[in-house]
Amino acid sequence: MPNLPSFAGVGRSALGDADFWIGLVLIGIGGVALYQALGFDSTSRSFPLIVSGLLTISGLTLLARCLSGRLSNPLKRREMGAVGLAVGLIALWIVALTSGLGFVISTFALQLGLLWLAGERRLLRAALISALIAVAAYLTFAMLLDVRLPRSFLSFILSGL
Amino acid sequence: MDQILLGFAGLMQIDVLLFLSIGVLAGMVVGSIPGINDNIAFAVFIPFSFTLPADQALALMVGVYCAAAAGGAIPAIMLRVPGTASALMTTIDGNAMARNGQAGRALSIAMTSSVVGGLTSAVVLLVCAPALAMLALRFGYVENAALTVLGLSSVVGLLSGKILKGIISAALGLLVSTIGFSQVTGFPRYTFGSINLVEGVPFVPLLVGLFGVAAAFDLLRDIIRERAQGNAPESLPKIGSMRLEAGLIRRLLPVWGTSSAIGNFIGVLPGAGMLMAIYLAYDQAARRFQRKFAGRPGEMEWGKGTPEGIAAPEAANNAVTASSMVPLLSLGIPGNSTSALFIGAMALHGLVPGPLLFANNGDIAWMIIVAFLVANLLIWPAAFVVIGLVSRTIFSIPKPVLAGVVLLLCVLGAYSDGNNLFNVWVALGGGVVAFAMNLAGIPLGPAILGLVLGAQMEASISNALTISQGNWLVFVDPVNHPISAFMVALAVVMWIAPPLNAWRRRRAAR
Repeated sequence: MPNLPSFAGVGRSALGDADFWIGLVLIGIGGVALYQALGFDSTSRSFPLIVSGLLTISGLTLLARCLSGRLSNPLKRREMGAVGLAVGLIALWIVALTSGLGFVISTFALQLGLLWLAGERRLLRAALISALIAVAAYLTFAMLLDVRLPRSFLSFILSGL
Repeated sequence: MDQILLGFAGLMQIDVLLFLSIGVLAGMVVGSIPGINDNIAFAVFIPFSFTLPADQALALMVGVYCAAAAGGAIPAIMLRVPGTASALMTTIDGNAMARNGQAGRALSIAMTSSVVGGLTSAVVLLVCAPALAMLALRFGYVENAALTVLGLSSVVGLLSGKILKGIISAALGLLVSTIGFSQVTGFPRYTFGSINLVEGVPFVPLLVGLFGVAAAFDLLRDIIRERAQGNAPESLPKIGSMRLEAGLIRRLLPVWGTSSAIGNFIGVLPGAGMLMAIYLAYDQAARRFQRKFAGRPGEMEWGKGTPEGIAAPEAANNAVTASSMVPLLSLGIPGNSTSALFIGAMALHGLVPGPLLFANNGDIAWMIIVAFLVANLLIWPAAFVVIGLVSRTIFSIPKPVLAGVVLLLCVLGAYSDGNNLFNVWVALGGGVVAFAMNLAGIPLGPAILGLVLGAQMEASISNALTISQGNWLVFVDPVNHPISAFMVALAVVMWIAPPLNAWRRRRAAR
């Protein structure tokens, strides 16, 4: 009799498959969209109902395919980690700008973080490059292209700070 | 003819021509930066087009689009690193020829091939887009609904065994397109109480995120990968003479013809993209080379520096540029990812691609078409400037710096659309989603088509059903709506053909 994979084994290996997580996310998004669509008026809900239903069924199919033991798409944790940190840095940059920290300081910090992530470990060099990029971006967008950048509570010291 | 002259009149203003030239030069420079693909090149220039009038902005973007595809060949030949994905195959023979001491010749073949391919596609755009738009102007709700179904179905045949993931991608795009006021009833959907979502997800920031931010994440990932592998940079080969002898031009003429035809054909198919065109063209050129030249005395082996190996992919990738604008300008369906970004560039100036563009903004539509023709002619001088003066400086820019700058330009581009930080969240979200889709092997093309066509599809189907009193057979009525019936039949064939072919192959293999 051939050796069949145990449920626990299949479960463990499925957790390392990107398709498993994508399937779960799609079921979540599709389910919420489906539930919300039920609250729309009768004419407005037909299209969202069909699309969210399709998304939920597709997510379920992906998940079922994954749990059936056909692993196809292993998770690339290392690559996801670095990009995850970059996403976090940009999110912090947006929060800093929203709370009035100012464009040049926030952008300097963002660039410093991105340079470090990309492997630049010489702090002075990274700081110089970051400052240069932040000032150049400010001059280009605020002065040349006339884009209204978020206001800073430090602008009384220097415009754009 | 009058319209072509109208296009030339629009383009031949000094300021418009100047921005087209700047676009070509800038596109060539950005395209020649290793790791910066056509989409990033396009996305980083979007904020610069905000402050310009529509004609100057779109001339700039046409220049960037055409030249970035050609510029990717420069690092492919000099460094064996494709500047853009479209120069992937050029690295093989291009770098081999450069390492044989003929870098100038390789660059010259690449640029001439790009110009030839680009010019043929500009002619295809000039002939096909207005004709298709004229036809599309006669479309009613029924035909428009069938057109959107056909547009979405057109990517099915290109998914090569990833049908489920293609459906997921399309469904995601369609779902995002339903956010905001319903175009049929005005009912707010999926806004979660946010005023920023009432008019739908901001389109330009979303596109910048899906293409620009995601590509910058890819760049960051590549840097980390390269650092882990410890790849050392190679020294640059000497450029030398860039003259092409008449015999070589005669030899390459058939390759240019075939590759341009392949590029143009693939370009007009929605969602097909450049990569398929360059692979097909490279394959065709390889067959011809094996038949005609392989084994001759003094002849290089295929892949070791043959001129056909450079000419074919370069002619094909630039043949995609203008031809991918045919479905966009005439029907409002993007031919590839960069032409989808073009929708964003047009939206910034209140222009909507599709048949009505020729009726309502004919001057701009014809100017864009003519700009593709002139931009391709400007590629040669721009290439000389970039290769001779700035390429060595470009190659010395550290990649970590590049990744940060590209990310910053993308998020600032998203912010500049209304000076709203919510747009930066949208771009970031779009970047994360596109990066995750890439990791999971979910193609982005169907999502873009769903996003672009979703609202039109819903409104057309709803209106067609209202007019026909709920009769679904109206879409396949060959008497009253023959165009719709034809398009639906074509869509059905597109869905059936791939599984049928796979079944046939499986049966033949048994």
